[in-house]
Amino acid sequence: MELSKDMVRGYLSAIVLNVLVQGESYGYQVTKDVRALSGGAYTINEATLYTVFKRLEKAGAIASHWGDESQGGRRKYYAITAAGLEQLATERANWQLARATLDALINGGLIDDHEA
Amino acid sequence: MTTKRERIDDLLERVFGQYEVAAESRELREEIASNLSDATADLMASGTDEAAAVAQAYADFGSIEDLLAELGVRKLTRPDDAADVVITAIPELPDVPEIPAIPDIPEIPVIPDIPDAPAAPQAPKAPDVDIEAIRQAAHAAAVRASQAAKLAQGPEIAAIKQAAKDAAARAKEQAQAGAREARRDADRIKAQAKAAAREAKNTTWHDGNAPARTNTIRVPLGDIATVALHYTDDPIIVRPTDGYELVITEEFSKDDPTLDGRGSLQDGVWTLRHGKRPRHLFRMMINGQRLGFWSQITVAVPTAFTGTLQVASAAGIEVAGLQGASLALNTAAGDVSASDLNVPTLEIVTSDGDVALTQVKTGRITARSAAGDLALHSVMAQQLHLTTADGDVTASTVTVAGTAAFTTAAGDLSLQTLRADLLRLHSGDGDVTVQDAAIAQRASVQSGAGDLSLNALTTADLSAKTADGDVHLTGVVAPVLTAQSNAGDIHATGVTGGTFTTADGDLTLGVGALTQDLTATTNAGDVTVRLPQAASFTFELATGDGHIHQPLGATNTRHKHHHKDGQVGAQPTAALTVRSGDGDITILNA
Repeated sequence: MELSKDMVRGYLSAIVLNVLVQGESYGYQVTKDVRALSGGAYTINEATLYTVFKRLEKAGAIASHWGDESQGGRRKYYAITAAGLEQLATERANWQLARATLDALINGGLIDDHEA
Repeated sequence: MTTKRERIDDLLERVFGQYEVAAESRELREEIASNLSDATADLMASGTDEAAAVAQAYADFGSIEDLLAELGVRKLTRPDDAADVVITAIPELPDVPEIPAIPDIPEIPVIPDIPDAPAAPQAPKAPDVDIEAIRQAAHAAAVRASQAAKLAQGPEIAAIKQAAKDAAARAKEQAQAGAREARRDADRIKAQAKAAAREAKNTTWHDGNAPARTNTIRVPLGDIATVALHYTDDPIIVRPTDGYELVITEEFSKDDPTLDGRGSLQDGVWTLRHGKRPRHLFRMMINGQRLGFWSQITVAVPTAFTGTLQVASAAGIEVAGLQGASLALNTAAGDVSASDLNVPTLEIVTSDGDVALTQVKTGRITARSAAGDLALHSVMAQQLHLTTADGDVTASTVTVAGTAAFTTAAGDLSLQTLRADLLRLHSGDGDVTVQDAAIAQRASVQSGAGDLSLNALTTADLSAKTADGDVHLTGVVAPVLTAQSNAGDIHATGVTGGTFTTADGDLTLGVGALTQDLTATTNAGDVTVRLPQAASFTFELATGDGHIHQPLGATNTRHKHHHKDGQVGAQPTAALTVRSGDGDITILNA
């Protein structure tokens, strides 16, 4: 079963930061890692990933540097910054709260008035 | 024969050729080319031929045109176009979804009037075939109806109701006990997982293995207002020093100069960026032998430094003995340990790590953790804000001149010996326990599913609310007191008045001296209020269906079976108002 892109859209920053906090990486490798993390249920399209990289880099949450020249050209590596760590912590806390609250809303039982 | 690189270049030229050439788009093209090259290599390794692999990697990439549009790269116009070049605006980035707040406790419903006795059921209409059957059915229905009517008035009904209530109370107790067990199990599993993770994460060495490389960076702090240390996977220790230079000692298990951090100074901010780290940070302990890459960073901060120190590391930060410098500590999974500090401000952000603070004196302290626990002991501050989503909060001997705010979504809050001007405790699912607290202005304690247990608490205004949990108040002194639960019971001893409300639970209140009005309301539960023998008060006691046991020595202005008003003593000090929908009301004053 696949995850709809709509469900994930608001959390793309958190997902990319989670991958990068585990080690600096480059575009194609990040798409592979995201697919692996999701167990195949979610694939991020590389063009979308690049817009997320741009947004995060502009906000100072990640920083980029070029790698060495290889047979395909130079790779651009992205690494998480201190500001990015803080953003990741906040996004994770927001997600925990959203998850607990939505679970209560969708699965929770109402209290009935007891009748004699 | 075209090479892989040439094929990729041709495909990219078809898109990029239509756009203006700028440094940004040239760099993007190179970045995309190298990623397509990697993707192609992967596809070829699983058997696809080069031409098909390049085509598929290119197709999988997504729309480069959309990407260039988002980045605002200009498309080339034809030379004979008179129109101005239109710059595609960068579209709105999607908003992060709104996080719903923890829902408020719902209002307690108004107690309904006593319903009329049910009418006898009509005789069932049968098809016009068997007159005898109709007569027999009517007769049987009439017998059932008269039996029902008898039951509705008989004394047996009280026993049936009581049995039903007992069964409901037992079921609720079991459910609550079950939930508590489940939470205790979850806590135990979480503690075990954390201990295991800590074992696996053990990344520092304090004795034994000597580092293969040590890099020392000295920074004279003359005009510097802010020091920012950006590490990712290295554990960090921060200590004070009497010298005038900031000294950073980086120790590594590999002798490689590219590991060294580099500092830069700009506009009064000295920033350190860490050196290269191995692609996969592989660390293991096998039989006391360390394998893989190891590092340790030690930062010595001059005691004369009064600026801001920002430290970031995903692997854990330990600070001790600092004074004068404002601290901002940031870790993802690492623990934060701070002790013996006397600093203007302290800010801690962590995702999974635990935070432990001991002997800390500061102006404003803010600590945020997603899954980690927060533990404070002997902390003094002007303002205090602790937030965690899943973790527990434990605090003892905490003094806050202004507002102390503790928030957790799923964890427990446990506070001992707390002094503050304003207190806010907010837990979603966890229990809240407070022992020995003096809050000058107002204490607001709230939990969704957890129990509230407040003992030896003195404040001008107390508000204690829970949806599913029980409320226990002992030795609570508060001129204004509001306690509310939806499904839980409220037990209080030594109160002086207040408003107590529950929908399904019982109220058991012990009054020390009735100096404020006391209002107790429940829908389905019983109310029991104990007052001192000498107490003098007016009362209004009303129940829908239960029994009222009114206080001794009362003169009544109203004396009905389900509604009794009156007064005890000559000089009432306050009004006692009790309402119950289904339950009994018992006022004891002897």
